[in-house]
Amino acid sequence: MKYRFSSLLLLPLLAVLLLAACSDGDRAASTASSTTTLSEEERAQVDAFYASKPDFFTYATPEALPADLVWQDGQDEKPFADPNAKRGGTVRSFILDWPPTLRFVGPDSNHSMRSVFLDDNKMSLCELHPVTRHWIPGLAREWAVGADKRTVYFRLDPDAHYSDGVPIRADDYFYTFYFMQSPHINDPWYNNFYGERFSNITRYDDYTISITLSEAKPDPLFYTTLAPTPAHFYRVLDEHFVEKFQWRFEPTTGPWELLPGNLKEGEHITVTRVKDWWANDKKFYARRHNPDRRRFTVIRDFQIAFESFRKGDLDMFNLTMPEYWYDRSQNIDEVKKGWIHRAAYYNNVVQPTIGLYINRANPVLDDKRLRQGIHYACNWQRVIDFHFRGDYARLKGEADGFGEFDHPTLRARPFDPDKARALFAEAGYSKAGPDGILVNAQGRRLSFAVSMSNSPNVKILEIIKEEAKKAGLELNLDVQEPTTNYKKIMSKQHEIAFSGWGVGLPYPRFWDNYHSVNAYGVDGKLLEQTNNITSTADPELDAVIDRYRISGDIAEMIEMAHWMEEYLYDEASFVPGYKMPFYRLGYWAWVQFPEGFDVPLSEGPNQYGLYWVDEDKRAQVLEAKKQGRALEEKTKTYGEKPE
Amino acid sequence: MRLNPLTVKKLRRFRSIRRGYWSLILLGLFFVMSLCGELFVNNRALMVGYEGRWYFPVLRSGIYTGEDFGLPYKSEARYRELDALFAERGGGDFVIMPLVPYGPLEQDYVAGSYPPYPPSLERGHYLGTDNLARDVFARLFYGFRVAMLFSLAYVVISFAIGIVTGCAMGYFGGLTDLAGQRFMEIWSNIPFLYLVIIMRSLIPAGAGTTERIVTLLLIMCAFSWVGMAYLMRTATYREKAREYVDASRVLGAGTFRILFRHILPNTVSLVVTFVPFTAAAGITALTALDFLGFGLPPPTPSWGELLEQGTQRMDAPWIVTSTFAVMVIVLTLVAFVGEAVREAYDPRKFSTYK
Repeated sequence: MKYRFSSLLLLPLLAVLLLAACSDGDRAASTASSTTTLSEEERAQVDAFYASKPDFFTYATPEALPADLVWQDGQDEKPFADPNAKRGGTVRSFILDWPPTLRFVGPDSNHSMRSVFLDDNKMSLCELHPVTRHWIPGLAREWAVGADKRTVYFRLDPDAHYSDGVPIRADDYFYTFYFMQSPHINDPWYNNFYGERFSNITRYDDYTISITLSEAKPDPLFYTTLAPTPAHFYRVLDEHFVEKFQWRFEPTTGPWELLPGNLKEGEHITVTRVKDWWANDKKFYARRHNPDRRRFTVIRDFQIAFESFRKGDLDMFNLTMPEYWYDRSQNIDEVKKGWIHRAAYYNNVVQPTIGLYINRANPVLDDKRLRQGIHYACNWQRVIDFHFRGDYARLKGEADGFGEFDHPTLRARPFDPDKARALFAEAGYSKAGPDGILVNAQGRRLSFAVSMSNSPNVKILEIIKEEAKKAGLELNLDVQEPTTNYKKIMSKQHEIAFSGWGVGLPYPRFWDNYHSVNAYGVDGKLLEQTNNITSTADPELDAVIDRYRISGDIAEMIEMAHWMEEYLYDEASFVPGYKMPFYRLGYWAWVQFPEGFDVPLSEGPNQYGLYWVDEDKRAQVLEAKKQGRALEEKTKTYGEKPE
Repeated sequence: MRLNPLTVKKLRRFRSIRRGYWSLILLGLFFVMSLCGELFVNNRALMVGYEGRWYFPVLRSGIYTGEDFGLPYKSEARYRELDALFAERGGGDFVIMPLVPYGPLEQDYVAGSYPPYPPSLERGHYLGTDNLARDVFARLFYGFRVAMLFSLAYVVISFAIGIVTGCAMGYFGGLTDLAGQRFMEIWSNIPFLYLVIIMRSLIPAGAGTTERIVTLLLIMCAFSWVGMAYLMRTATYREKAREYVDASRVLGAGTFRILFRHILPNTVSLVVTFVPFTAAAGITALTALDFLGFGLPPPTPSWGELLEQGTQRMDAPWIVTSTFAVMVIVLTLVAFVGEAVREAYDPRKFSTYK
């Protein structure tokens, strides 16, 4: 037995060794390409692709633009960066794993550096203002939404260019679709996304384009604000794409680039600020992304990285976990003496729907009163108060963090054993058995299994279980290895599942989780592999969801969303759990932040890059540390804590 | 019942090995204590005097609710609160709590501070609490009971299977033996941990805690009988060739009689010497599985779960040290007993074990 396990461990090691043997040491990043334009032959090949889909790729003249368009430029919004921010300096962070590739698409492209290279870097046509959530310009200087709510028109900023100096033109957007729809990139997700979601792209002139969605959306900008792909870098794609671009860094539109020689395989990567970044002085981009360099060292263990941070080898460290915020960083010398500062920032991002999903396909649980009783029997407040030390907050319901789409008054039911018992009694469970658990007239105990994966979260449910006894409810924990648990829930074999769905802007979606087409097939059997894990199938709700999905009117959608939230509250098949409405950070005193610390849509300091490094202060703090001299201790909470 | 003089001799020999003998007595005492553990470690009162009537909550199979004692809740009475309340109120009402007034599942949070709480004589948490504010002593105590019962059942079941198959293979020999050996070779090559994970997933979601524990027990037994079967096969082969077996066959004894009346008693020393070591192995295996999160269903009190918590929280040393100490003590006692048993059954009287 022992022997077998060790050989299992050896396998990945062997793989790593083989990989290392294959590397030739100088697979350095390269942004160099021979020319900045495609040759005629290459041009012809790409054009042939466009010509093969005349409905999708259209050429028009500026006169063809609809006359009634209302162009917007977002210039009424206020800039959100700090005017005192200083350019320069180096920020040192860590990554847990070496990225397996520098590509953004294709196999293994979802890696540890993706947010640095892509998500928080590459620019799109328009961006959301992180405070007001209104649109502000990005690569497009102006935009206009068509009357059909499917087409959006963009005028590109003539100043915009890639880090290698090549300007961004309408052609780069044509090329984006050529690139993303290509089978050579080996990425079905992108193929599907760029193939199904859009129906047309039109070029009016070098700087004017329109993008059309397959379906109307109330705010089509959300789906059409795309990033360009540099044609002069990728050129004509072939079956060698994946290997060819494995270690080449794409010229970027954002502030950070990876220059050749700035990475040492398995050890560190340094991104540098683009010299003369085109958006340097633009209203919404000035005074952001301030350091000159950001260096990422590979540290494969979180605890070791923390020690490294304490030593001063890393400038910032994420302290969101209670254990790190309290036990590990509260009383250390570096914090007490004010060399390391700590901040908790309450943001306002959409919250994943973590909680208990009650499966209505179970005949016993298909009773509204009983489900409402379960709501009152769950003591989430105790979990929040003790397990999360009062830092987390109760999730409001199906929608939390969507602004006006959140229900204005509805809140999750609090723990109340008496109300729970009253509802259980209505459902027939009125007598207590010898162990205090309620039973009904047929002798069935009020006992259900909660399926969940084997993780530290089991502790949360142990608290819920103990407290539920007070309401006469027994919850048995059905703890499985994560994949097994996922399979069980996806095949709807659970009674109650402790789970959470990641959600995204712009508005809550109800179809995936609550529409009957995701609950039962045409044969009336339970559908597997859908997100409707409560097996909700109500014609009344279906009708509203259907109208909501095709609606193009925000006000009407908000009204429908509120109605659905009330309806689902009453149906009570989802017990809202908790949310984490903040991020917490430790940083050496030379890192400076704006007065408000960050902006509400931010999930970390690097997303909007509002901080800066004060190199003079660095010298002072290091000197103080050397002498053991105390500076002012600083642990501060920013932003608004939700109720 | 008249004991075989040989057995009497062995028992006397065992008794003369003081270390093993006292270990057995101590272990037995602990076990018996843990079997009626509710009298010593419990959040239910031993006795409540309320309005002139006496209640014995511990001895009752059901529960008394708060309402039974004039409190405004329908769940089980919280006796420690009741105790404080009666003391404050004065009068004839009283509550007698067990020595350690906490149950293994009860979460005793203190407002304004966060578990794990350090040991405190004043609050009655003699070994502190774990991450969920549960009393470490209570969890160790009930964890011991679970581990002992589990490992005893483990020994009985896996030995039963092992002895029957082993005897059959040794006695019948030939094709039975050959097939049995091949089967055992294949069987012992199935990865045990994966099977535990897979079997767990097959338990229906609605199964209760007891069903889950029994399933785990059966899976563990299914993979632990092979060693015993091999031993018994060899022993039976050897005994079968002796003249007393031939003699009894000539006298007309059947297979069963020969196997169970003649061969088995002569190989029993082999079985008995293995009992304590297998029991210890059962405890460690269960602890290891719990440590990995594939053992007893939460929140069953278990040593492995405590060890796991303790290694995560080195800043709360009372969890890991007390668990580790208890494990070492119990396993050492078992090992002492095992050593003494082996010596008692050893025909060479003057061999020494160092």
